[in-house]
Amino acid sequence: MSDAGAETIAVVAEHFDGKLRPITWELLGAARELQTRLPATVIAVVVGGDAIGLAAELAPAADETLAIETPNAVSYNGEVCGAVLAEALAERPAAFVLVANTTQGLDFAPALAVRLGAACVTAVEGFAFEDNGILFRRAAHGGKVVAVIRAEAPAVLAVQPGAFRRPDPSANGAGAMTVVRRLAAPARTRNLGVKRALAADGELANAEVVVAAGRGVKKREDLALVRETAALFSRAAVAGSRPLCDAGWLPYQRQVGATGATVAPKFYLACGISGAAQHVVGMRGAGFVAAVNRDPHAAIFNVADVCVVDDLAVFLPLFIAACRGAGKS
Amino acid sequence: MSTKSGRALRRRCKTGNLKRRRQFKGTNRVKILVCAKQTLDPEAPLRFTDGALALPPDDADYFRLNPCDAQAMETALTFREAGGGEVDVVSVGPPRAARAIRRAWAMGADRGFHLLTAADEFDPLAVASWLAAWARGRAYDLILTGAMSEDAMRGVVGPALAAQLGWPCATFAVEAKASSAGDAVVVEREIEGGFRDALELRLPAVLTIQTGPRPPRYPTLTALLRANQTPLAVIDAATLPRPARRQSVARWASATKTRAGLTLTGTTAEKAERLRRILTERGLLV
Repeated sequence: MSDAGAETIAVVAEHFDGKLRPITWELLGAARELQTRLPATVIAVVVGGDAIGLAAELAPAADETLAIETPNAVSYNGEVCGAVLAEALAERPAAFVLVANTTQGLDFAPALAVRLGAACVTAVEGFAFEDNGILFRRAAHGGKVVAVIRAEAPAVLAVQPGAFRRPDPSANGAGAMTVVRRLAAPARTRNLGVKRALAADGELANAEVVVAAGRGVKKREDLALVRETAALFSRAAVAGSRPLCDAGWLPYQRQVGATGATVAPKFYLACGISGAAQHVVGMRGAGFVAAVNRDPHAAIFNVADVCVVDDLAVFLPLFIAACRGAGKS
Repeated sequence: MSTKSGRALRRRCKTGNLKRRRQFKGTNRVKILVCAKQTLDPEAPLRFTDGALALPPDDADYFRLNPCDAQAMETALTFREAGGGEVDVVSVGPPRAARAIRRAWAMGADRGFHLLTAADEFDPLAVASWLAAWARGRAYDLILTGAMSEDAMRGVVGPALAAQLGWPCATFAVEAKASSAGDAVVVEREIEGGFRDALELRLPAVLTIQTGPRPPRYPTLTALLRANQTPLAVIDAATLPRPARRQSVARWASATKTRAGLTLTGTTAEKAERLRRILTERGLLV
């Protein structure tokens, strides 16, 4: 049972195409973790054209649920979302407002913080409960280090997907639901529609092994080595991090990460990938991970089962040779 | 740096991007401000002891113009080429940040401004306040900045700046062009799952720009040399209003390890053989 109290922790649900995104449940998990330190009521807030149905789905997992129906902004609109949330949170001030660290949450969170006079900490991946308050852990410098942030409440916190677990069903709250209707229409923005820019890549989605190239792949020859390495495995696909796709060396369909593909192969071999959160979010479900990077402090080694500190241009030819040699004997 | 010397800079540059302004027809003229940050290259050595982060020395190899901000600069220049107008670049940062401003300037900006701080400012809302104070009253139509800096990775300054100015904002933009009427921008935001969210924003507006397939232009050597020789307009950030500090770094810590991370040792050939064996034992390599 939840430990409701005088304070409020607000969770802003993220939904897309009429469905709650998994991060919404993780936000509730994060709120429950904060609740162990701060006696508070966890209120889930859903904004959108179809807010009521989604709020009903969330209600059993929160202490209270607020559905803000916006019939004049059916799909996500940052202007309307920010305005109605600021209004709701002015009426019901929250010590912490938890939003998703996604292209949607990051779109409205800073403006919401400005309107509420709150701090804004993004990419939060953990809390540190200390004598003098609650601190927020977030990765910086390509994931090599973690900044532990002190922020005064009220604070808007954008929570990194995958950082918190869904709450235990036994932590279910009271489930009281309030519905309000806000007729605000966007005045200075106009939604022109969401379209699919990239078709999912079937070969990548079905691959059992993904060999991925990152910024450490400096030359076309290095990319050829990555392809040659992938050819050693059956059902393998070559993928990459954003810089490689921006450079035109791999199609965007092969980009693994937050705005690219999410993969969960049996084996993921990261070649010259730094391991920033934006990439890791797309591959952390892999069964077994090996990473090759010449920087011993590269963040990718924090999410790898096997670490090879080496230049991929030197390592991969020897690895290919070792596999081929073993195949012949 | 005054407008006059900006023009002089363009006149002096016989080649490269700085010359293109003359082609503009003036129908969609926009006055653009690009907010650029000098960032630490993620490959730079980084150490922390007792919770304090030791940045590498002030070295041109380690500090550079944030890649997304270079993309924002490229977008601004594309707007100027399409419809005419002006592009200013501004950066908040310590003295070394001047190099990033000069780099952006050499790409083809008309003016460069440095909001000088004693050290790197870790409160993004303070940075946004300074930028808002600077931009207010200067009649910009469009403010562009990178979607995120590659060192702090926060993505807060752009949208917070928009909120402080009371302007609409679109984040993670990968396409941006002037509307046919010229009073709005049409933007495509890159969102999760291979989708794009298209929207129109009335000017003035703030866009945060994501890197994409059109790489930022490379400044010509002449433009770089000229930019390096021209004095920047420097404004002491302490003279600009800022909100009370609401957040700060309490300490720096090691990144969390989520997997075992067995580090292979020996020669490169030995490591290659070891990895082959591990994968074979796991049935991943047959």
